[in-house]
Amino acid sequence: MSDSKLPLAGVKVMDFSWAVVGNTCAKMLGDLGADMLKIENPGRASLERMSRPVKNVPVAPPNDNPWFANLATSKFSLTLDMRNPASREVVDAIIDWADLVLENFSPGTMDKLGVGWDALRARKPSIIMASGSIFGQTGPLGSLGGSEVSGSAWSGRVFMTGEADRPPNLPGLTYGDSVTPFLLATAVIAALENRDRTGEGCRIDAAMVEALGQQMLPYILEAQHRRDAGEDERLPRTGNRSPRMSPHGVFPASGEDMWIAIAVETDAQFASLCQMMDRPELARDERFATLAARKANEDELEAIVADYTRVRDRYDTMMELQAAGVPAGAVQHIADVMDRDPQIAHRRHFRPVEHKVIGTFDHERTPVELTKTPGRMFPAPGLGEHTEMICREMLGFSAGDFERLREQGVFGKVD
Amino acid sequence: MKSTLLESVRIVDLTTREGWDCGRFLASLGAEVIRVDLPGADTGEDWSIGQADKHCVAIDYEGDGLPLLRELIAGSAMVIESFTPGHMDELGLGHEALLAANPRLVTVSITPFGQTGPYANLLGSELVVSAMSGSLSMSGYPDRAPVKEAGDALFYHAAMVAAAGGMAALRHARLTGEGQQVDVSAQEVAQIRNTISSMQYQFDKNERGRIGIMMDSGRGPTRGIWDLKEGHAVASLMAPGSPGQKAAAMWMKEEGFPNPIEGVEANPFRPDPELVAKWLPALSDFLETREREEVIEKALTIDTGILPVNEPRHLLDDEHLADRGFLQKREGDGPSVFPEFFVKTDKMDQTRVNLPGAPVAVSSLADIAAIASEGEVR
Repeated sequence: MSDSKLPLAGVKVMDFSWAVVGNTCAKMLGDLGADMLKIENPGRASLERMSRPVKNVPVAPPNDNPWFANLATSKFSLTLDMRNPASREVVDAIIDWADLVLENFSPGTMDKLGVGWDALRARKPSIIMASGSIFGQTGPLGSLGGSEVSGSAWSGRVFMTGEADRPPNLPGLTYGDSVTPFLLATAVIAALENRDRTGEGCRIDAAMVEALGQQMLPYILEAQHRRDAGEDERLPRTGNRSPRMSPHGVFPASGEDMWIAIAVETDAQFASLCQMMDRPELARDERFATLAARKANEDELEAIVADYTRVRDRYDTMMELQAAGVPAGAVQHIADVMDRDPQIAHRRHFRPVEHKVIGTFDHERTPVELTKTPGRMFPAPGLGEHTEMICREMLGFSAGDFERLREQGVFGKVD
Repeated sequence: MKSTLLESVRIVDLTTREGWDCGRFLASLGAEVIRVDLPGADTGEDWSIGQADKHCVAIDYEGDGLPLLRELIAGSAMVIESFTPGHMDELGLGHEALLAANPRLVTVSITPFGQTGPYANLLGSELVVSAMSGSLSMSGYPDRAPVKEAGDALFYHAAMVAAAGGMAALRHARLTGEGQQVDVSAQEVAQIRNTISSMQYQFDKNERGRIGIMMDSGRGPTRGIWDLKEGHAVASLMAPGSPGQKAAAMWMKEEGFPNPIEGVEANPFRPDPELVAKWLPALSDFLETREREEVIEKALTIDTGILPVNEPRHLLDDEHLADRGFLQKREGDGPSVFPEFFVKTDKMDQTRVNLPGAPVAVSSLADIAAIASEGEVR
């Protein structure tokens, strides 16, 4: 099963991932070559199997969900009813096989299932256990479940996103769910390296609120500075503006809901922007000649820039400003990204993968290019698709033992 | 507190601001990260924070110091950079050139659009990459311009992906002797946050847009942000019949607030619009009378799933983060609090995070080794 041309070839993962944090981490490990053994309870399969955000697909639950298919590439599926005591025989065999146990249940769930950290390391001291959660495995809030929104709200990130005259807004896409998996994956590979060096296992506890707390660090430190100085420690939302750049905003372009982002960091870039706007005199105007002056007169400046952009095509403006050395980008919608962006196409970010139920459709690749070991994507498994293969070929159960376990109801009932 | 997992790994960090967090994260896992700046580089407090737990030296690698930097990289496992594609080659530090002296070398490159392709050399700030990735079009209110997310969210994300990709390449190099370049495009990294959109667009030709205080996990918009007596809360799973709704209704009853759908059996997976229309205004009226502290208490005691929208200042007094050892007070110059780790492990030492002063000019590997072995990061 292992392919030595893949960077994580030979790494064996007992994957209990149930939602986006775990499944995104698992996708990366699998796409880069790890042997991923995904364990699902047929009565409570992965969240992305059960949620149905896409309508126009063949109806064949639980294997008809493109969201799951996109996230669950490069792994094998085994169903297991862990409430059935007879399942322990299989669980122990998987622990003996695995280098890593990955999970993102609410804290405490793995203990209840008999596969908590103490049980795992008692059976196999070199095992690595990696958990992703919202608040972490310990602490006063450690017992709380939650979601992407809970972690983002707790970290201060939601509060600081938006404009001062309106409530904060929720970006309509994930962030904590998408960032935390890569902290988890980094720590997992670091732990594998440490294990190979020392023989020791490792317990990894990645909390979304801490992953996001690091990203929010400048705001946290600013609040502390203000507190230390006896100033008002409440920070305002600042929309698209930046303390380090001006103009720094999103300006209208021709067409409905069309916009262009412009981010001017230096006076030279501002002079180029003025040239392109056919207003070269503004670069010398005392209201705008320096960053401090531009910040002081930002409303007026933004109105001037908007007058320039609103009658122009967003891509024309982007390419002309870029050619003049001004950072600018068209605000792309998903259709633009998927159908129109030559960079995304060149990098083959979306790659067709044939799925047994859904057919061939574009999957997002794990977004990292390793030049010598570029990774893989094979289709997401159906629920329990590989149960027999895993037990027989990967875990070494005989045909008779497998039948016995099946008759004991160890693998649950898959409709 | 640092993990000790990577204590045998030396990494050279040449990144611009966009890539600082990659080396900072790997240093928190125990790597010996040698941060190299040009003499005279701007090294204020922002810079110092970005170099936490790194060993900081100044080498004139655009001039006489190039051989020294090449020598340093030859003895390292990884170099991290975030220059415009091609700049490392111009400096004489391109990946292929460095491999000659160190075939196992991993070069991690973090850029707005990646090393290759028609946009590879476009100028890309956080805002510009956000625009081009499709994420900016999803943030804000529908009647206004899109609004960027807080901070440098996209480049932080790209730095974390780069760390993971770099570690995978490092493992491959150790096991096979083969080094390689790890090429991270912040645009691509940001795109994977928008999976539901890319799936809905492919299959349903549905294009999602900005929805302000609402949220949509794929089944249509529901209210996500609510007003409290002071400030805001998030509550997303409030469909009639859901566990969160039942807990909130219990809380309302305790406080003497009417529940317009009390006693009604409801299926949360197929919300009845009439019940929703009765329930949500009642919940909104109730939450507008509640304090932040009560919201936290009820989340903990009856699992409402409702949590406050914290301001950054709230994290300074956060008992949970303090209990976990994450946000800790510091003495001396610089910030008076600082986070101690990115990921918690059972392999952490008790050394406190160090924020370096200005980089030290060095002229030999022995100088660098002396700085790296001081135990305390300068």
